[in-house]
Amino acid sequence: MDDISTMLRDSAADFLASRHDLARLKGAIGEPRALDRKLWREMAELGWLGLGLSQQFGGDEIGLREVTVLCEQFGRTAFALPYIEASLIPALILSATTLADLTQSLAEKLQSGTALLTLAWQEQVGEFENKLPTTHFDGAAINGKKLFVAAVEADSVLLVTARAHDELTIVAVAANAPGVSWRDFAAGQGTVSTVSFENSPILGSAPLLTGVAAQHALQRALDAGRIALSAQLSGLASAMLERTIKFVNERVQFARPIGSFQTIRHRCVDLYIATQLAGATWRDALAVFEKNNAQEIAIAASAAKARCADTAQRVAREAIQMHGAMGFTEEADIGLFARASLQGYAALGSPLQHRRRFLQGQTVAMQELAYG
Amino acid sequence: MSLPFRYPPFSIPTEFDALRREVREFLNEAAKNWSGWDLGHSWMAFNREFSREVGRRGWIGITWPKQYGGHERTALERYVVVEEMLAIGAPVGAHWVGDRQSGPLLLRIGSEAQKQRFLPGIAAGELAFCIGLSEPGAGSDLASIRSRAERVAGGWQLNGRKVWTTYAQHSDFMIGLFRSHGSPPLDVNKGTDKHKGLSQFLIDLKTPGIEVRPIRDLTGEAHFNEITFDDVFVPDDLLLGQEGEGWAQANAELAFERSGPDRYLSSFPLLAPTIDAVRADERSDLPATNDRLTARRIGEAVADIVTLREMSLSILGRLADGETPAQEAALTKDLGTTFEQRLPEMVREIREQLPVRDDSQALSAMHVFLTETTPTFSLRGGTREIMRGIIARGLGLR
Ligand SMILES: Cc1cc2nc3c(=O)[nH]c(=O)nc-3n(C[C@H](O)[C@H](O)[C@H](O)COP(=O)(O)OP(=O)(O)OC[C@H]3O[C@@H](n4cnc5c(N)ncnc54)[C@H](O)[C@@H]3O)c2cc1C
Repeated sequence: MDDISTMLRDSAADFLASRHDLARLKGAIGEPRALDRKLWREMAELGWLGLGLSQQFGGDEIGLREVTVLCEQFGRTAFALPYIEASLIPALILSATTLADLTQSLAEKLQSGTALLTLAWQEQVGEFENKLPTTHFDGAAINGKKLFVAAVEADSVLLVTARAHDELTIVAVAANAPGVSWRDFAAGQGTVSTVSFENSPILGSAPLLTGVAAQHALQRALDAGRIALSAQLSGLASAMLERTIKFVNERVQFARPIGSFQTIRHRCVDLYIATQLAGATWRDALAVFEKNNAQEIAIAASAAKARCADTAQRVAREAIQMHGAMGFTEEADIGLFARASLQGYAALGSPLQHRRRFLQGQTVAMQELAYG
Repeated sequence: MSLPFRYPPFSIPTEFDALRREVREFLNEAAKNWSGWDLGHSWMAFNREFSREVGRRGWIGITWPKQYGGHERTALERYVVVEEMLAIGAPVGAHWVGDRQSGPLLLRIGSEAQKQRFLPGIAAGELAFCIGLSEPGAGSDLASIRSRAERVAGGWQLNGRKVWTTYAQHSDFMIGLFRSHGSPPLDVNKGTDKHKGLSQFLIDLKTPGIEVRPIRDLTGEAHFNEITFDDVFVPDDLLLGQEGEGWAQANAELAFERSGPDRYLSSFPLLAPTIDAVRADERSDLPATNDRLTARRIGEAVADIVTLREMSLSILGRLADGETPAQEAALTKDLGTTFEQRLPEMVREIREQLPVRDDSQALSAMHVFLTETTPTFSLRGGTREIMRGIIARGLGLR
């Protein structure tokens, strides 16, 4: 780990230890809840918001590597704020745009935490970014509906994918603009919204991105999000296993710690191996990301997301099993980790979808190798 | 190698088809009032009004003698009724424990006065029972319970704590297991037999000294409870069975608990709406969901369920012959709960179902509830590891 990463990791660990309290997440399980803006602004003060913004927006070329350091810590503590959706992904979309008054002011809002930025792209369950959206941009306003959008609040700015002349565009729309309405749903530990646009005017006079540039920016941002989410899921899995190991050493049945039963011991070993493999996949994807080949990135990001999501899910299930009935209580933190891994499992594509995408990407890559 | 696992075939005669139709019609009508979230609860849903209606129709305590409010019908008819209830996800929680477990136990070992006092109420869907076995320090190692019953004039005085007691907060009575003499040895290698000196009591949960604290769980709701007993008086006539024989009695009770359709049907209500959704997609030719893999996964699930049903029925047949097929029951529970746990995962995979609770869509709400609760299926009623220990002993491993 380089100096910046080590510094970030330590500062994240400090911050999370002092400012993040799992108890706060309890009491309203299964209900949509507002984003904790006080905590969000503190993250801005630490310089975490907008990491990944390019230099033209005052970014400091801190990249995905550093973001994964944070996200792994977020996973390790079941931190519930939508950092990937409302910081990393919008930062990468903005970075692909040209500097203008609008983009400059959006970047400032993002970095300062004074308004929330979020990407609205999915229109159907299980959809990937290779499909042209049905949401339509007519040159001035948009019409359509987006699913599973994180961080939608009255002062949010939505970066919305839309179709214009059969091309992909990304436009900025204020959540409080005319014709924008949304419904919140509880998802894991957080909230996602279904957002509808009816003749909603865009911010500024033109889309942020259009055509191939929009496609590239979208895929790059989402794949970066998948790699960061993989790091987070991997952190969740490791933390669940550590907590479980601690628990089985303390819990006594039949006059022995249950951790002394061989079936429990072997299971912990199996899970440990699984977490190590998961860690390897996202680190590999990160290395590929830094080499900047979109197709290779897609393959590696899919491999990581599939593996890390499955691993977190498996560790969550086994962790609850090893905790006994205690694992099902709101009181025991392990359940919050399990909820977080459920959410991360599905977000930005499920393992099954990512395996399909991996296979498609591999097939293309192999064909190119053969004929290229 | 000759193994002790026997599953002689056994099936439900067609003469009970009429009963099945009757139950199904009733449930289809009642289901109009249940949301997807409700249906996901199945026997975890407590609804007294529904239980009273089921009681009125004569579907609780079906096999019990008429003199105790029963209907003197066969165990097969009970199976038909229960199967239909679970298949749709009916909220049977208010009479579930009484019908499955407490009632049969009372019939076998209760005093005449106890039978007369409790059974008619259970059969009417009026009296709800809960099971007071587990304690903070005694889960898998049930025999190490510490809650105590001390002899006092005219009865017993209870002190201690029970935990994970499902629906104690809504129930009228608990059958609780307490240590009436001796103490649990701290070290299994020395000291007395911890299985001795346990007794079961019928405890009125309104008795002074009882405090019930609901425990919130991962669904955001509270299903199970922690109960403290502080000098709780139980009169002599509410000791159940023999003093000191509680361990054997409670274990016989568990045999009723482990092989029924509730051990493989808890997620079953998901299956029909999932198949409907896949069919609807086929018509709208959405990609990916109508592929052969999807058909195969659904086919496998149906094959599993048919097999589990055969196994469960076979055990029913042997129980009816007075046998206690404990190994087979453990094996069926292990397989059954594994199936119940896999079903929501299958639905998630083939439907891309997200953990986002949308109450306007029955499948979504049901799926979210079940996804959150399936981890408990391999804990409640004895954990998977404990079941496997029983199966291993059946294989001759010592
Ligand atoms: C939803 C739900 C409802 C319940 N309802 C009731 C109820 O109404 N009444 C009631 O009395 N109880 C109830 N229970 C409690 C249930 O019976 C216990 O959870 C179960 O017996 C396990 O005990 P425990 O939770 O203390 O786990 P523990 O016994 O502490 O076990 C923890 C883990 O260690 C494993 N383990 C323990 N011993 C061994 C061993 N020897 N070898 C290998 N592994 C081992 C277990 O399998 C488990 O994975 C309920 C539980 C749940 C989850």
